[in-house]
Amino acid sequence: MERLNIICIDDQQNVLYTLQRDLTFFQSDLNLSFCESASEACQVIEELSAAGQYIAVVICDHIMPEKNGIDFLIELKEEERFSAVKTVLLTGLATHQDTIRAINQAHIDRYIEKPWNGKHLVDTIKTLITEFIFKVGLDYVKYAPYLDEKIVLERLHNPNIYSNRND
Amino acid sequence: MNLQIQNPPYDLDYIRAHYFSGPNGHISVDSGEIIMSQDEFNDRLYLLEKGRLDGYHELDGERIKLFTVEPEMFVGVHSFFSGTFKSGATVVAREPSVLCYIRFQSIDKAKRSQQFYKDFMPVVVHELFYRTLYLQQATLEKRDTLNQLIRNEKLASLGQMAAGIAHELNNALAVLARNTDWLCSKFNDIVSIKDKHEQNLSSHALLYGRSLSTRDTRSLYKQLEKNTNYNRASIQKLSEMNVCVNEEADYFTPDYIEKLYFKWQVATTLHDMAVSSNQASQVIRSMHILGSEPRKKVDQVSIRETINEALTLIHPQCKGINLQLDANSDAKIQANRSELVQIWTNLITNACQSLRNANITDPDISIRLFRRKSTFIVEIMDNGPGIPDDLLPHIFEPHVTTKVDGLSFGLGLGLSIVEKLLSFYNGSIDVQSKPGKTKFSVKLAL
Repeated sequence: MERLNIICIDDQQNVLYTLQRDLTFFQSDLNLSFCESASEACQVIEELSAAGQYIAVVICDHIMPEKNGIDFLIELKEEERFSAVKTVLLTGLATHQDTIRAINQAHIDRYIEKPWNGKHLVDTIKTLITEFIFKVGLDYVKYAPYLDEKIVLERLHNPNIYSNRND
Repeated sequence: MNLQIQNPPYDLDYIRAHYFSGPNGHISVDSGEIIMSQDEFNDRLYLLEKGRLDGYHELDGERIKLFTVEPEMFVGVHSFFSGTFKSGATVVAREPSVLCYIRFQSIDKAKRSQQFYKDFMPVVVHELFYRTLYLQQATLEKRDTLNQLIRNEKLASLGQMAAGIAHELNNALAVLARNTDWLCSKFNDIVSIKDKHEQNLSSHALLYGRSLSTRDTRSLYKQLEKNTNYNRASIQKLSEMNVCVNEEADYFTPDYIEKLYFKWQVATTLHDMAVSSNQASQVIRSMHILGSEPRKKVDQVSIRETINEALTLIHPQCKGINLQLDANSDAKIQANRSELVQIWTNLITNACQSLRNANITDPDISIRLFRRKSTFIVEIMDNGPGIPDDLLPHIFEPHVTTKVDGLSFGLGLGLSIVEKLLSFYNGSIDVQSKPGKTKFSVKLAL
């Protein structure tokens, strides 16, 4: 059975646990994975991909030892098989230059500053999951409680907006 | 300021012999006596034999020191050789002195042409060179003093602001800290003593928080998935709590696991709150130091002991780092123990963090305490990446930090606090840094 995965990456454990608490809403039907480094995230993503699972959303910190978040996201998006993945940069410390790279090279979908607002985060993830589902062409009915209703309605009125299939 | 130019480029004996060996060209002066006054007539070239003189420029009633004259140096060079015969400076004897001199007219007319100037040219140039050097040095010293003053000003005003903020936050933080402690103590009351799982899990979580890495959590999850029949939600909770279940021995219902997990989460949350409020209090205490006055030093304190105490305090942060202490002096100084401990704590913590952030393979911190005459020196050296040259002059300023590890409670105040505390002891600190070796040297007077 296909599973949607949300991957969270931050070198601070307490940030990860706080994220976990905020994302409890998604816990029942989606998989949440927590990683303390970009390399750990790479491993997890590889394993999940190999098992045929979807990587729907990646939430990533920027400042981390070894590889930083933006570099990781750039590399992630360079791969064709992850082109549909929705990415969120969650950070308290990014320079102007970093942000430009994040947008232009990593093509991030959202930038959220730390400290973040819990509800805002959940709403953002809902929207991104909805976009992902429609982009990849999955059955959205199954994920109804986790979706952004506005987008679903738009999609019903205009089916070609979010699909990337050539009909 | 001691400026002595060795080996002047002229033969003093020759000049003495040819020009200064006449009978009447000697004077003795007492300290404070004026040899010549600025802008007044002077046709004498003096050679100082014994004593010391100071040359001043008078400007708007203020005396600015231009040069010092040591034995075997010349005085009156400007007025003598410029042809103005007007003294450019006021020359005063600092000590009782003996000078010999020649008057311009007394120089043989023949000599006064080529030979005279040839003989004295090096003297004049040398004299000018010396004076330029003297002024340069004075300027440099003034600039350093000015920088120090500016730094002190900044520190003072930041200190005041910090103290103000600290004061505002003190109450709120005290409430936070005390209430968190109370909650932690009451938590144990709501944990069932009959249920040993709940007991063990929750009390461990309260004391140590969550200690399992995400990687280990994930492998435990896979293990439980393979070896047990629990559902996904239960396995996720069990793996987070680091509970290895032996399914024959204990069987947990999903509801029970849910209950355990809930209490465990509360415990870890309380733990994290306690840690955070402690750290916040520590920051406030540090900020308070920045704006404080020296406290009376109450004890005779062993420096070595304070270093050891600091090492104990920050032991958890230094895990994996090779720490060496070489303290062959058990000397004591009049001090406040906690202030010294704070100094070492800040410096060693900085070293640990720098090593950790750069992921140094064989991290090393070595601490040396030794005595040199009436000074105690503590050197803290690490083999980290070092401090960049452009940052080095600023590291003692508040808020300069290269620490970018997300939750840095240090606020970059560490070194300015160290400096402030050292000022209570008339101590000093300096740093040498290059990639692979950074050394902070703290000096404390006996």
